[in-house]
Formats: sequence, structure tokens, C-alpha cells
Amino acid sequence: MENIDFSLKKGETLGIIGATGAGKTTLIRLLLRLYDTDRGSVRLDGVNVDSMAMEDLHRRFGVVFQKDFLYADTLEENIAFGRKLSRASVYEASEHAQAESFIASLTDGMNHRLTPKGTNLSGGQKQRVLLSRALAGKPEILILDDSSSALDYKTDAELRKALFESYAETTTVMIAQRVSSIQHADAIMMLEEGKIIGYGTHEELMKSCPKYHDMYKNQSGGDQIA
Amino acid sequence: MVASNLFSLVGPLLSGLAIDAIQPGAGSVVFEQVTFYVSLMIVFFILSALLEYTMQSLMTRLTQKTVHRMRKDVFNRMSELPVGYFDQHQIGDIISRVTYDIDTINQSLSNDFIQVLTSAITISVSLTMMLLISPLLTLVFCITIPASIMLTKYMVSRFRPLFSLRSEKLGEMNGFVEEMISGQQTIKAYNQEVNMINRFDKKNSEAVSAYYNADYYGSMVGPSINFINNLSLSLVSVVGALLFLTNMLTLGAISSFVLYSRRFSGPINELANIISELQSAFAAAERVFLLMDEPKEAADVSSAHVYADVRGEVSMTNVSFGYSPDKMTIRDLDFEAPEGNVIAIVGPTGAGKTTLVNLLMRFYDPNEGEIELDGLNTAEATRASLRSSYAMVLQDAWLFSGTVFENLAYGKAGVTQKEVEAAARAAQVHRFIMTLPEGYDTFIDEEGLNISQGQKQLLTIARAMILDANLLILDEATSNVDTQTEMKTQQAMKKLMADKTAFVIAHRLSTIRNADSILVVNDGQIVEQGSHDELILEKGMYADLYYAQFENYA
Repeated sequence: MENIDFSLKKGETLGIIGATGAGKTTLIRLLLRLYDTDRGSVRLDGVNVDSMAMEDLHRRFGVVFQKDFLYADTLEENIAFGRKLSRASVYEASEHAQAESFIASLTDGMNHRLTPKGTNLSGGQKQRVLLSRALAGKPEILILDDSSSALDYKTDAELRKALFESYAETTTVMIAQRVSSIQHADAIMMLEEGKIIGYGTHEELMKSCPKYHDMYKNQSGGDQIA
Repeated sequence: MVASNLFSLVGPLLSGLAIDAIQPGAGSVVFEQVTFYVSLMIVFFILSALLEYTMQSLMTRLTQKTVHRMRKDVFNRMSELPVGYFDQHQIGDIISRVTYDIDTINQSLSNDFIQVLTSAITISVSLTMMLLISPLLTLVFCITIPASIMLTKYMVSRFRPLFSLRSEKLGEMNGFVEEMISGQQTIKAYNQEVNMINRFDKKNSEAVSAYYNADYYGSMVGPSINFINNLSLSLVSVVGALLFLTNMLTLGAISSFVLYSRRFSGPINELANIISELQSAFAAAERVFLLMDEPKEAADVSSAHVYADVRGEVSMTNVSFGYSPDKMTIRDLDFEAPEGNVIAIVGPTGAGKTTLVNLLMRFYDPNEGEIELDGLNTAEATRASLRSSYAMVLQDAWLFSGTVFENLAYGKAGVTQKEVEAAARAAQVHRFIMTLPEGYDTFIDEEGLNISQGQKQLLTIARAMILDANLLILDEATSNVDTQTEMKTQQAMKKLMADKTAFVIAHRLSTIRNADSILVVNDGQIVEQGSHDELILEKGMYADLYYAQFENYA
């Protein structure tokens, strides 16, 4: 990654888009200090993340990684994930993450035991449980790395609506494969080979960034494949 | 081995004879006899040692062969297991069976097996010799042997389950480690390191205490039996002394008897130890055989049909299926896919789209209903021929460690370089392959290092083209590739689908719109079926889904 500059205000949403290997995941790793920057700085409320205790830093985030993990335990435990969260906040998070209906349909509900790595859930169900985990801690900053790719368009739209309504104060960084997942973000960053090749709102990028324009056209079904 | 043992067992007899030759006292020692017996002893011992060495190395070779064979069998069995087995078991635990458990069996085989045999021989020969020397003196053992046997039996029954627990806990711990390694990043991001360390500690302590308990009780056997043996030795000494005083036995005979009785009790002591070791081997073997006995995919029906050159007409009638019998994922499903059609499968997540594919390929069999291919029930055909009628391109492009060529030719025997290149060209990935350091011979690892997601996808499309199957299953990737590659992928898929019956788990509107038929799946049922235009007019779920997406692009 080189020369990445951006800033977000509280409650804003940043969408990041770009091909695999463009550096999207690296960027959030830097935010979380899973890696340190070689040059430049990452600041949270004006404080350099280097100078924060790792625990305090991480506590402010809710994260869903790409191919994140679930383990052999109950759904509730997988969502609460060792944090001392109330039952109510676990349930509330699952509702916002659009997981409530499928959890309710299970005989054991929240006590449903997952098999190792959650293989007894479908891809979309897994993602919704992971989202519940991220939301349950009521984070200041929410990071979603391609965490709605297995959701169909409709569930994806409902999720975005829930985030918009109930987490308006939460700053969100959302990595997506589909333009539709991020096109309403306050700002969109398009990455290619570790560099920003476009930054702005959807409308701005449609005009200023030909690659973004292409991707949008392509995904909205302009091309016929069959 | 028998000979080796017998040779060493002649020793005490000879030494007894030698002692008797010395016994007459100073001056009258029969030196010739002593020298004779002693050199005979040395010869027998050397022979015995040589034979034992041969035996040991033979045995090592034998056990290595056995272990090799066992691992092979277990591995082969794994490939025969239904997909469901791996959905339900921890990989770490399975690995633990292939490595730790088989190794435990190996150790026990190579050490204990010989010992059991030699011990048995030693015991019977020693007993015979002792009876020959003095039946009276042997009576002592009528008290101590049954005592040893009963004690061992009692102890084994107590600690047998402990050894099973030991293997089980170790497997659990390995499973846990495997899970946690995959979740490293998440654990850090949520500050759960300490929590997970504690969880691991618990698993680790459980494994250790299971290990300790098993070994603790196991090791109690040896000393207990040893005590009884020593007791018998003191009895022998007392009774022997009495017999010598009453001139019923010579000093040499008593000496031989004592040596034999030591030989006799040594193996009994060892046997008791071995029995405890064998318990761990049994427990390990149980786990290995449990895996081996896991039901394979049900065998094909006898005189099963073998599909060849299928036309590609697929239908499902009244199909119901659930991964567990109490929860049906698919209910009463009906549809027909005429030859050469493109069928788009759409629906919310968890609706049963992937399950549909699992049923078509017979990774699972339906609980009710029939799936037909070319008018023949697929349940009455061989799985192998059914599966090879399909080519599959999944979202998670799967490559394995091997050359590009091997990865492409995978799935069809005897493919030529020409065919592979032609397919790569058609999939628009030939040029990319030629930029790799060694072209088609470039080695790629599992993770497909330095190969982008898009290229991986093109490679799997080329692989599917080589298969030249008349049926296709495509799990359409969401566009996690750059625009250029995306175009290539679409063109390649179009080529791939030409003249084939294709099932596409569709995400792209263009695919869906152009499909011959759209199956809208919800809650395990096909709620709507028809072309794009028909379904839009119906204003049902499809129209909802369509507009939910369309809104974003409006």
C-alpha cells in the first residue's frame, strides 16, 4: 500500500471497493493495528493508534473479516464471543444483523450448537451470525470486510437499512464486492494495487473514475452472458 | 524367536550343572566339566542374542509395514466417506487419529508384541524346568500366580476406560487448536486472546489429566506384581533351604531353580506392564477403527446404470431432503430441465440453493422423491458415472499443489497438452499461463500464490471445459475480480455453457434474465418457476427480489 489518505467523521460510512489483491483487507488490518504502518499514521479521535493499548483500541471496533470463523459452541456464545454482554444485546444485534428469523426457526434458538467452524450453517447464515457478533459490542467503529457477499440482494438491502437506522452514530468501513452494497456510503474509495484510484461519492466517482463506472455498469447487468 | 528364547533358557540349567561340578569342594572340582558347561553357556547366549537381533529388526520392518498399510487404509476410507462426515467432525480430531493414534498402535506393536511372545515362551519353559527340578518347590507359585492374575485383571478393568479418554481428549484438543488457528485474526480483534488461552488451558489440562490418570493407574500394575513376585522368591528361598537341609535337593538344583523362578517372574511382571500399555493401543485402535467403520457412501445399487454420453435432461419429482431427519431443507420439489437449457437458481440465502446442487451430484440422497437424468432415476446409476457427467465451477476456486497442467487436467485421464492448451485459450487464460515462469509446468500451491482470484476462476473454467461434460453446475461468483477479468469470465462461462444443460446459482441479473428458466427457491421449495418476463408479471417473490436490487441501480 502506498500513500493512502482518508478521514472519516463520527457516524460516516466509507465504502471500499476494488479487485482482489488491491489492498482492501490490508487497510483494515492497519486500522486495527494487526500490522503497523511503515510510514504515515492512523489516528482515532486524533490519537495515534500506536500510542493506545491494544485492548482499548480493539474494544472500540466491531469487525467481520472475510472468511471469519465460528467455532463449536452455542450461537449465543459465538455472538457474545467471551465478552460479558447481556442477553438482550445479543438478541438485539441478531435482529439488526437479519439473523433473528433463521435463529428463531431453529429448535434450540440461540442455544443451537454449531459444529466446528459452523459447518451446519449456510454461508449466508454464517455471515449474519458474524455480523451479530460485530454489532453486539455496540462498537464505535464497525468494520465489515466482504461480510455480505453470501447474502442475497434483498437481505443485503435490509441489513443496510438496519445499519442506517440503528447505528447512525457508528462509523462504518465497509469492504464490498458489489457496488450496490456501498453505493450509498458517504464516501467510496476505489483501490487498485495498493493505491487509491478514486475517492468520493457514488455520483462523483461515476463521473471521475472510469474503472468505477465500468464496474458499476458491469454489475448492474449491462452485459449479457447467456 | 522361539529358538532365541530357548537358547537363553538353557543357561540356568547349565549353570546349575556347573555349580554341581564345583560343589565337591576345593581340589576335587571337575574343571573340564565346568569349562565345558560354561563355554556351552556362552555359545548359547551368543546364538540367542543373534537370533533376538534378527527378530527385532524383522519385527520393526513388519510394524512399519502394518502402520503404512493402516494409514493408507484410513486415508482411502476418508475419500469414500460422504461429504457430510467432514461437515460434522473436527479436522484436528481426524488428523489426530491418522497420526497420534496410529503411532500409538505402532509403538505397542513393535515393543509389546515381541515381548508378549517371548514372555509366554519364557514362562512355559521356565515352569517346565522348575517342575523337572522340584515339583514341591513349584507349589509356591500356586499361591502367588493366581494372586498376580487376579490383581492384574482387577486393575485393567479399572483403567481401561482411562486410556480411551486419553485418546479422545487429545483429539479434542487438536480439534480446538485447528479451530483457533483459523480464527487468529478475529480473536485478536476482539481481545479474546486470554479467553481463548483459558479455553485451551482447560482442554490441555483435561488432556494432560486424562494422560496422567491413564499412566498413573497403568504404572501401578508393575510394582504391585513385582511385590508378589518378590514374595514368591522369598518363599522359594525358605522352602528351598528346608529341602536342601533334608537333602532332597542339591545346591546346583536350587540355584537353577532360583534362576528359573526369576526368569519366570520377570515376564509376569513385564506382562502386567505390557497389559497396561496395550490398553492405550486398544484405545487408539478403537478410534482408528471407528473411523474405518464409518459408513461409506451407500454402495451403488447392484447392476447400476453407467451414464455415458448423457443428453442432459434433468428432472426432480417430489423431492424432499433434510441434513437431519427432523429438519427438512427441501420439501416436495418438482422441476424439469430440458436438454441444453440454462436454469438459473435464485433465492435468499439458506433457501436451499446449495442443497439442490448437493442432490444433483448425489453428495446426499433425497429422503423422498426421485431425481432423473435422461429419464433414468439417478439413484439407480453409479455415482461415479453420474458425477462425471457434470462439470462444476464453484465460487471458491479450488486449486491443489501441483503444476498448472495437473490442475487443469484434473478429473479426466489421458488429457494431452494440446487439449489443455485449447481449453485454456477458450477460457482466455492461456496468455496468463504463458507469463508464468514455467508456463504450464509452473508449480502452484494450494493457496494459489500470486494467482489472482479472477485467474483462479478462469483456470477452473478451463478445467471444466476439458471435462467436456454435458451438464454444468456453476456457482456464479460475485464480482470479486477486476472489470477486465470479469468480462473474460463472462465470455468464458458463455462458451462453457453453449449446448449444455446448465444449473447456475445466479447472482448476476444478466445471467438470470437470459436463463431459459428461473427457479426461485425459498424455504426449500420452488415458489416460482418461469422466465424473467413471466415472473416479473407474476409480481411475486422474484419481482420483489428483482426490484430490491433494481432500486439500488435506479
